[in-house]
This record gives sequence, C-alpha cells and structure tokens, in this order.
Amino acid sequence: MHTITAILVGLLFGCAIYLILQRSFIKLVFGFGLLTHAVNLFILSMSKSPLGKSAPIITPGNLVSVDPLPQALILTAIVIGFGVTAYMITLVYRILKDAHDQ
Amino acid sequence: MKIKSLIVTATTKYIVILLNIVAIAIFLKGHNEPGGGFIAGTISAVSLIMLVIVYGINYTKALIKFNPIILAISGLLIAYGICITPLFFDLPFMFHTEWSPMVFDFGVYLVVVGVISKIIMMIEETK
Amino acid sequence: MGIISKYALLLGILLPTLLIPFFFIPSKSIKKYAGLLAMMAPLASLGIILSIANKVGIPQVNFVNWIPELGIHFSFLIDGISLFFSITTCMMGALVCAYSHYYLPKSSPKNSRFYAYLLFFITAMLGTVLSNNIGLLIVFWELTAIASFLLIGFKSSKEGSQKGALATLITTGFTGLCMLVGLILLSILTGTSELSEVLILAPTLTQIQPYLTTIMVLILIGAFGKSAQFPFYFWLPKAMSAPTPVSAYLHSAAMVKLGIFLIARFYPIFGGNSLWAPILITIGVITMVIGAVYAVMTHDIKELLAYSTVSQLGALVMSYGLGTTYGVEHDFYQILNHIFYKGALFMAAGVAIHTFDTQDLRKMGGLFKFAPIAGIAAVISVGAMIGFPGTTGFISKELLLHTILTIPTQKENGIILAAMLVAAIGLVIAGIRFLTLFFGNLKGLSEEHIDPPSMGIQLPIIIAASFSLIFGLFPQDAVFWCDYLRVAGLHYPSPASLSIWQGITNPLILSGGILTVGAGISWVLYKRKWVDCTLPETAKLETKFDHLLNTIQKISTAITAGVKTDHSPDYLMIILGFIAGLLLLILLPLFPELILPFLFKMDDTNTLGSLTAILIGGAAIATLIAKTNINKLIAISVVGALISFYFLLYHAPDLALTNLMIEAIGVVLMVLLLIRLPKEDTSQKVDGTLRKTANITIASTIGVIATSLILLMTNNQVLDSISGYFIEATVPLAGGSNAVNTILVDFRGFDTMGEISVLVIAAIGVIGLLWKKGGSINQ
Repeated sequence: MHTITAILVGLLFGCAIYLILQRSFIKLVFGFGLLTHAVNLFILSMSKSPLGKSAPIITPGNLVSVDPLPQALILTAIVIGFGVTAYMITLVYRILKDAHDQ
Repeated sequence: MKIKSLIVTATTKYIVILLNIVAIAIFLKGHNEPGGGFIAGTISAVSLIMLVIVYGINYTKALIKFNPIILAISGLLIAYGICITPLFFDLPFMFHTEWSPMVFDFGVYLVVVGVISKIIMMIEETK
Repeated sequence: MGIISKYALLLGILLPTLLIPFFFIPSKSIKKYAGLLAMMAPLASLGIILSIANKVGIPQVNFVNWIPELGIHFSFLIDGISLFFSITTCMMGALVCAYSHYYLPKSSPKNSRFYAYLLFFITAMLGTVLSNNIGLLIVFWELTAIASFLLIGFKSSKEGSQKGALATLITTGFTGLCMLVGLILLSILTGTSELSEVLILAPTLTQIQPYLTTIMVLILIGAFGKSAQFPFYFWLPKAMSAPTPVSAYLHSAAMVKLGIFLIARFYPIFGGNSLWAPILITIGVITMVIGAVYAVMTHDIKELLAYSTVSQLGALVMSYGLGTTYGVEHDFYQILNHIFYKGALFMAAGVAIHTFDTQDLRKMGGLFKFAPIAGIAAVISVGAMIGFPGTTGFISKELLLHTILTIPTQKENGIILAAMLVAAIGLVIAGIRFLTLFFGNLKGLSEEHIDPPSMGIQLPIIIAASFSLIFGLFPQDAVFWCDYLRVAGLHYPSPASLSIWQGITNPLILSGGILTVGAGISWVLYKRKWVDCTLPETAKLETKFDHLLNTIQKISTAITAGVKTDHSPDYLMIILGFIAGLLLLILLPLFPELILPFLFKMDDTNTLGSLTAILIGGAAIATLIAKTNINKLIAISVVGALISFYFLLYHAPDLALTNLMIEAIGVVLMVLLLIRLPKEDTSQKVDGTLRKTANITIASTIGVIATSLILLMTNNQVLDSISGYFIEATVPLAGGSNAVNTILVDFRGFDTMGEISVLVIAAIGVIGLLWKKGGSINQ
C-alpha cells in the first residue's frame, strides 16, 4: 500500500501542477485544491505502511500504532489549507470582478 | 442562495442542533478518542453554513446575532491567554495543567468556527 | 527590592504607551481634553522615575528578566546621564502635549493618532536613555526611529511628509545598524551585555584594545546619524514637514539629543582614545558651520530653526571632543540651554505658521501685537540662541569660547575658533531674521483677518523660554541641580562655578564682537534687501540624497523591466521548471540503487487501498479532462471525498472526519465563487503546442520527483523516527490517549498557536478583499 500511495501522490502532484500552469485563474484554484491533497498525502506517506497497525489512540497494551506526528501536521494543514484556498478564491474573485467592471 | 424545499427547511434546524451536539461530544472526548478542537470546529462551521444555505444569510445573521470574526478573535485571545498565563506564576510558556489543554483546544475550536463561517458568510453576502 | 518597585520603573517607562488605548475611547470629553490628558503621562512617568531615583539613590541598576538566553533584560541604569535626559524628555514632552492641545485642529479624528504616536515616542525615548542593557538599548533606539517616522509622516497625504519621514528612517536606520554592530562587538568582547559593567570593564580589558577604535567609530556613526551631524544632517531639515509640535519636540529635547546622549554615555570608555577628539571636533566643526550658513540662507522659518539646531548640535559634539581625559564640564548646562530655547522657538514658529498659513519668512511679520506673550518668549529664546547676556545662551557660549581658548595650544586651535566665530555670527543673523516674525509691519494679512492666537497656546512657549532666562540669570542654581547628576568618568570631580560677570575676559570680548558683527551684517542685509533673494536649491547637500534615492530607484526599475514578463503563469513556469530540473538533477544518480528497487515492492498491497487509489487517480485525471468548470469541481470533490476514505485506511479517523467536513465547506465555497464569477475571457489563453508540451513535461517531472522522494525517504531512513516518543509520552506526560490531539494542543501546541493565528489572518484578508469603503463590495 505504501508504494501505491507514493505513485498516487506523484499522480496528484502532476495533475495539480498541470492545472496550476494553465493560464486561467479558476484552474489555478482547482489546481491548488488538488495540490493540498497531494501534499497532505505526501506527509501521510511518511508514516509508512499502515497495515497491521492501529489508530494512534494509545491504550495500555496497544503500542503498535501508526505514526501520530504526520497526522497532527496534516490536521492543521487541512484547516490552514482551507483558509489559504478561501483567501485565494476571494483574491481571484476580486481580480476578475475588478477586471470585469472596468 | 436559499433553498425552498419544504422537507429541507423543516428538517435542517434539527440537523443543525444535532450537528452541534455531535461537535460538542467530539470536542469533549478529543483528548482520549478521535476528535478535538479542529474537528469539532469544522462540524459546527458546517452546521452554520447549512443555516446560511437553507434559510438565507439574513436569517442566520439574525439567529446568531454576533459577527463570527469576533468568535475567531476571542478564540485566539483565549488560546494566547492560556499560553501566557503560566508566565505570571514563574512557569514556562504554555505550561499545561490538567485542564488547560482543553481551554487551548476550545480556543482552537472558536477560531475554526469563526473563521470558516465568516469567510462563507462574507462571500455569500457579496453579490 | 519588593515586587512593586521591581516593576515600577518599567511601568514608568511604558506608562505613556499604556495610556494610548485611552485616547481611542469614543468619548467627547476625552477628545476635548486629549492634549492636556496626554500631558499627564510624561509627568507621571517622570514622577515615578524620580521617586525611584530618590528612594534608592544613584547610580543604581533596576533589573527585570526578559530573555536571559540572549542576555537581554529589562535592565535600567539610573544615573546622572539617564536622569538628566529623562527629565528633559518628560518636561519637554509635557510642554509639547499641552501645546499640541491648542495647536491641533479641535475635534479632528486624527488627533488620537497623533497623541498615540507622541506618547509612544516618549516611551521609546525614556527606554533608550534609561537602558542598561545593550539589547534593550538597541530595541528602544530603533523604536524611536519608528516613532519619529510615524510622527514626521503624520500628514501622510503630503509628498514632503512622506519624503521627510523616509529620509529620517533611512538615515537613522542605516546609522543605527552601524551602531548595532559596534555595540554587539563591545558586548561580545567584554562578555556582558550590561552597560554598567561594560563601562567598567572596557577600559581595563586588554583583549578589546585593538578593536576599540573600530567600535568607537561605529558607535559614533550611530550617534551622528541621530544627532544630525555631517554628513547625515540632511534628514533634520527634511523632517520639518512634521506638524510643528513634533518638530518642537524632536529637535529640541528628543530625537536629536539621543546622539549626544550616546556620546556622553560612552565618554568614559572612548574619551581617552587618540581618535576621539579629532573625529568629534572635525565633524562637530563642519556641522556647526554648515548648519549656521544654511540657517542664514533659507527663507523657510522651520528650516531656519532646523539648520540652527544642526549647528548647535555640531557645537555640542565639538564640546565633547574638546573634553579632557578627566571629563567635560557643564555639558548638561549647554544641552539644557539648547532644549529650552529651541523648543520655545519652534512653538513660537508654530503660532506664526498657524496665523499666517505660510512658512515663508518673507511673507510674515508684525505678529507681536497679536501674540505678545509668544513674542516675549521668542525674544528671550532668540537671546539664548545668539548668546545675549542674561540668558543661558550667553553663558553657554562663554563656556565654549573659554574651553577653546584654554586648550593647550595647538595649531588647530585657530581653525576651531574661527569656525566657532563664523557659526556664532551666522546664528546671530538667523536669530534676528526669526524676530522679524514678530516685529516690523504686518505682512501677508490685513489686521481684521488675523485670528489672534489663544492664551493657552502661548503658555507652554513662555514656560519653556522662562527657563532660559532663569538659568541664565542665576546660573549657579542650574549648576547646583546639575551637580546632583554628576557622572564619574564623564564630568570633572568638582564643578567650576558659573556667573554672568567674570570681569573683562577674552571670551566676553569675543561674545560682544560676535553680537556686534552679526547685528551689523543683518542691518546690511536688510538695508540692501538681500534677505529676500532666492538661493539655488542645488547648493544644499540634501538634494544629493534625493538624487541618490532617485538613481537607486531608476536602476531597480531598469533591472525589473529587463527581467519581467507580463503573465504571471510564466513566472510559475520558470519557478516550477527550475525546481523540477534541480531536483531531478539531484535525484537522477540515486535512481538505480535507492529508488527503483522499491517501486515494485508491492508486498503490503491490499485490495481496498489499491482500489481507492485507482479511483482517486481516475478522479484526478478527470479534473484535467473535464470541459466545464462545474464538472471539474465535481471531479475535485470526488478526489477529496475519496482521500477522506484513504485517510481512514491509514488509521487516521481525525483526518478523515476533518477532511470530509472541510471538503464539504470547500465545495460550498467554490460553488459560491463559480456562480458569482464574471465570465473569464479565455479567448486569448489557448496554449500553443510548445507551451503545452512544456507544461506537461514540468508537471510530470514534478510528479515523478514526488514519488521518488517518498520512496527514497521512507525506504532509506538514516535517523530514527521521533514518533515513538509521542506514542510513549502521550498518556504519562499529556494525560490523553489520542496522540494526535495531544501533539496538537500539548507537545506541539506552539505550532497550533501559530496556525490558528494564520487562520484568523486569512479571514481578515478575505474580509479586506471583499470590503469597499462604506460597506461590502457591491454597495
């Protein structure tokens, strides 16, 4: 599953970058959304294969858990990613609106 | 946006209440089981956004009565406050006692709810 | 020391700043008495500082921990120098606040901002002069630069204000950096960051002697920048675009005296250095003469005062250079002299500017009839400026002449004396020109149009001026007070007496000569109407500064024009292409051994994971293929939802839940955007084949790099993972079994704090983008 994740991250990165390179603001926003997912999965893949491990809820007798650190990082990254995407969306809106109004 | 379907308008308020109860539960057990301020915050934000979509922005504003950004900023102040409080007792910055992580997490919750719902409401208001 | 007195001094220094929010309370009575309320702040600060000094005695060090790791503390040194400058700062600050109260337009909404800047400036000044810690000194020193920038640029819509504020910031910022280097060197070499210890250690330690001259020059550059010495003096006349109360403060007691303060503070260390006297005397003399000459040449009343300040500061710097290894004498008296007369003159000039609505001396005159008190104050102050008997200026000048005449004779002696005479005569002419404001015929306005200045505005002026007279008539009293503030290493062990009449001495004859010649030249100038002619602007050095700035701007514009393209995606392509190329170059040699073998290592494959991954990949490719924006959006939501599921496969329930929620909100957000967006003009944006190929190449390269990086990093791990620590410590240390949550709020709580701050900033950014004056964007 680990190798599959690696390939998937590569694919997502490729799609995201391709969208970002287009000369269109909307595609830039979409590309950025995809990029967020790609980066999140990238960080998650650092915890290696999840098979045979449990969720990072530590109870006595359960010490074979997945790596909690990438998860904590991603959790904030998701919410921050939303904030940044929202900012970008409004920025795009503002640019297009002002260009349109002129 | 405003949805006129009867079934949706009739059920949404209960769903919103339910969602917030779920959010509170998830928030409270966050330290020991899956959950916490970030997740509870997004759930509460979703409930507010449902209100906006179903009943319209004006109704939502009248219902919650305060500006969400105030929520966010007070959350920030709570989080900062709990971080610097130990300094007054000659303890290191962010020294946690048994209950202070919960307060910090509550600050996080407020920030997430406030920011998300403010952004959505702001865009919804823009014509 | 008890806890209260431990923090009392810090409180006293911060008090003016702490009171700032008070001025923004929307209350009519606060607005009405804002200036008088602001006046209380520096007085209260002064009271606190003096009572601490009185209680414990001087010199003393007041110490509160701040950043012990960097050796930076709230450590304050209360001694003669710092007390003297604190007293003058606070007293002039109070006078200026009172004056501003009457000077500023009543009930202007900008007033709160003005007092906020002013009080902030007072705090910065007090902090600077009282600092005993080198780090703290630098912090407050730069704060004064920022505060003065805000104050000078207060009339932010005027170009002159912007330029003046910028010139101040650039000059004092640059010289401040030099000083920073010097102070850090000093701190490293002596091994302590406490000034009181540095002052004792520096002359004795042998290892710093080779560097002492370098340090001295660096610190002196800082002092010269702040005190407007040649060649940095040009910011001072430019700063005249500030509101007049600010000029009165900045150029009498505050900003420009900081350089003098620094020289006095470090006199015990550097006073014996062989280069100390030559540097200070040369720079001081040049500045003194230039200032006096330009003061005569200008027609702008505030510029005249500014240049006379420059000249006087040069004289002060020179007098420190003339000191012996035992110290200097009566330096505080000379500084006091300048503070009070210059403050009074600026405030009087403010009254005139207010009345005549111009700054051109040729268009003003005859104000005495309408503002007699300000007039009397101006006469006294000009008397002090030109050294008329009975004022502090007279004694100050006598002292300076006396020092010059009694130095063990050298051949430079004559040059210094000549320069001193030229500067003094120049100041006499400038002073007499200033008085034409009040005397002579009424100019510019007819009598009925004049709005006579109020009593309140004239009161601070006469208070400031009366000090010149009192200390001038009774110099022994001033000496008596200054005697308390004697500092070992800077001053002579016992004070010499001062008096107006010391018999017919050489200095007296010279003083008389200066006044006579100055008056004579003025008479000729007026008789021939030479005062009214216009001088070319290019004669001044500050035009060179402007020229320099313009040249830098032109060069950078040219460079920018050379490398820029008009389409932002082009930049993205360059940046991403570069990153892709660079990383590929690094990774390429690693492929055969460290990456490729692991690509086919599918030993942990499970069906559900593979299936989900394939679906996500398909949805991602669908975002590229989909024709309309809505279809693209749907494809992206599918990716997001499936990734939530993928998180679940990775045993990350928190992530799955959050991602699902955020994904839902994100879709709402994008839909809201799509239905509001005006149609984007895409007709000219069809990419050519070449461009398309380049895009695909870059995108796929980055994709390959991402995959390779993951395989490389996870399969060839060199260091141990730190996550074991979190898993083990979450229950015993953080008291929670959800390791993700404990990392967020406990172990890495500081990160989370930063992240929620970013969120709020993003929200404020969104609000700002959708905001237009008077409501939201569409109204």
